[in-house]
Amino acid sequence: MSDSLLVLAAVSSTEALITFILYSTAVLGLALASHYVLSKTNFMADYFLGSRGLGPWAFMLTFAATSASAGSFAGFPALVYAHGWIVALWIAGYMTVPLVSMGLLGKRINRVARQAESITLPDLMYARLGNRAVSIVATILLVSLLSLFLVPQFKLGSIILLELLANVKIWQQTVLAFGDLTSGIPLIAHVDPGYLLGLFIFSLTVVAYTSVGGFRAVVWTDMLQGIVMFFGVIALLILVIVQVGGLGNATRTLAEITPPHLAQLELRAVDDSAPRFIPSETWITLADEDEERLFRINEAARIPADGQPSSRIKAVEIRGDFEKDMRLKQIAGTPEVILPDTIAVEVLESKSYRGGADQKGAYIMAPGPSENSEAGFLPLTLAFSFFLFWTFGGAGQPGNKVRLMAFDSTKTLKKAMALLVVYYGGIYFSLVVIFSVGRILVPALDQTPDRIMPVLSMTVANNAGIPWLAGILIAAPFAAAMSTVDSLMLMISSSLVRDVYQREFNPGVSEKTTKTLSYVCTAGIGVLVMLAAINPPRFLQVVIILAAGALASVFLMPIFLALFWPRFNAAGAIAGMLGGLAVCLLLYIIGYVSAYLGGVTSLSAMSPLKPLGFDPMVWGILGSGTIAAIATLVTPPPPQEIVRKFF
Amino acid sequence: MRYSPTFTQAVRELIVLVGGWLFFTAWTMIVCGWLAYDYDVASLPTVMGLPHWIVWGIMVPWIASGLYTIWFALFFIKDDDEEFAREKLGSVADGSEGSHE
Repeated sequence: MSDSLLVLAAVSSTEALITFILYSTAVLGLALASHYVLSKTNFMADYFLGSRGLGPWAFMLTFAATSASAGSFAGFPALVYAHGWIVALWIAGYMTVPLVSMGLLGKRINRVARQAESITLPDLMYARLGNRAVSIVATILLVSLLSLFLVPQFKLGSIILLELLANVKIWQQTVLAFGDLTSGIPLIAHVDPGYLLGLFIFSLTVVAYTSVGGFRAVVWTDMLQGIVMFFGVIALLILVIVQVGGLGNATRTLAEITPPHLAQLELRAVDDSAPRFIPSETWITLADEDEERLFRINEAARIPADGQPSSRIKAVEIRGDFEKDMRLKQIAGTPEVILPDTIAVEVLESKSYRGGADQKGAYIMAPGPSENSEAGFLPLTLAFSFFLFWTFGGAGQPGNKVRLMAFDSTKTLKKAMALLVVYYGGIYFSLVVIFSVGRILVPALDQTPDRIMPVLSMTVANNAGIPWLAGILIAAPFAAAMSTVDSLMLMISSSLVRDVYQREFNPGVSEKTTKTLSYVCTAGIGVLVMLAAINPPRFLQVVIILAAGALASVFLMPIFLALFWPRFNAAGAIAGMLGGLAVCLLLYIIGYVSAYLGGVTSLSAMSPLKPLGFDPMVWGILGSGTIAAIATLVTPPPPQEIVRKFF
Repeated sequence: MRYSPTFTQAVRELIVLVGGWLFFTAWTMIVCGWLAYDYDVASLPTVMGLPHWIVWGIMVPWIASGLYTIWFALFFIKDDDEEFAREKLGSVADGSEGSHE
């Protein structure tokens, strides 16, 4: 590895802007092409299910892109960066995801859906169980939980766009003008205009192509997004390994690095001349008795002119002589990245990790360093819980099940499973390697680890002399956010049009009305979610995890049993859905209320109850299956004609 | 009641799938539990430059699980679409095709 510091300051994002514009144009072009195809086919089946004509590549890529949400490219890299190699064990359940998520339900759900001519999950349950109440309960749960899941996705889409364009001059000027425009509007005057503009652009793009093109447009854009994600990650992997001097060198270096301290600093101008702006990622050296302390700030600081201190600034203190010496050598000779002597620094707080503090090798072994837990990041019981979580959580997501209803033949399923093995292995294992060793290239970003994906991408692309590549790399999380949002919007509108309007109110609805309703519904949902995302709830991460866990708890077992257990009936399905939801929610409520009664007030320090270390989703699925089985056995069996038809 | 051959085949596939899943889950948990939580940083055992527990506990089972999935998908899942279509036609002919709106 070179001795020069690899990440110094903000880099230009012009290339990122060009990439983004090209990317958005391609996405809208695909939507228009899809709209043209749509005008020549059966509207309902094509708009919501692509006429069940997905081939292996389209099926695999749309399945993978829908599963990979913005979290896969923002939250996951942050987790790897913060805890090191142990996150490989945390995500290891993905090794069996292609087997379980496609193999468990794939062939059966596709056949039953074809046989029943179902285009939505509630539609499928109605046909298999012959009961309208099942369909109504499924629709209500599906629409409400998916809507809950969508709001944070829109916010993440806007945040990614902000990161992508932060240093582009045209963007900055547009944000200023937009801020002038919105400052007079009462409900949105207080919202950051950059966030608002990002949200508006993200929403407009995704609502436009999903509404116009339907399922086929979603699949085509998913394919483009899946390809961008895969090749972006592989390119990043190669660049990172080369720049750290090979994996052996990276492991030896990581073995010497100890977890940092998380600090809060206050900066004050000594000369009291003019207001000062100190950019994020500036280094600070402090002589403290016989020791030199090394900090790096993780957010920009504004220092007032009158000798007043800045507000509290988040910073990271490098610990351990090995890393301190290495970083000091790297920043020597680059005074522009070091805080000038005319600024005084006061250390208000420097807090060590609770798990793995000052421990050499913490980043290359289990359980991994942890800021909050003395047991470390991943005790073995929790590792097992996550193994189950990824495998069955993925299989339980309604977005995946709808895709399983859309492939054209068993041959397609077989090939897509094989392709998904390569795709998931390539993406997830590579991400672990990239961001574990990424700590060597981008040090001390521990207070804002969510930024590691764009920062590392720009760093390695610039080091390699190919800055345009950064644009493609950063487009990956944006692509992931769009590909998740579009599918969910379509699922909600299909449920409203097919399961509510057509079945409950107007079975003889004309195709023209269906068409208009579908367009209006899809666009309307997008607009409503965008409005909700203007002031999203603070507890965003909790909402994402809760909604994903609840969706799997509600739908996995009832659908599985409906496909494989002839005796399974409507009472069992309703009890299973409501029971799964109740178990999952109850564990959240008990955990949060107990923490609150115990004096914990910060939401980030609270967690749901996890009996035996297992996530509420695992208990939700178990509870759903048990309750569904009991309710089925104590009620009459389903009509014989239904059993004969599907079994 | 006698179930259709395509349904019984789907159940057979399900059993083999669950068996594979159990095997790879056990492999990963046992090997990582044994090697990763007691990793000797001083001697730094590595394979191909990676900590040895990553290779034996994650990478190798990931590759093996991938090969198993490919075998399962390409050679074990039966391509019985035509048989299924015949069953469906048969059930219509029997008059057992239920109606649904």
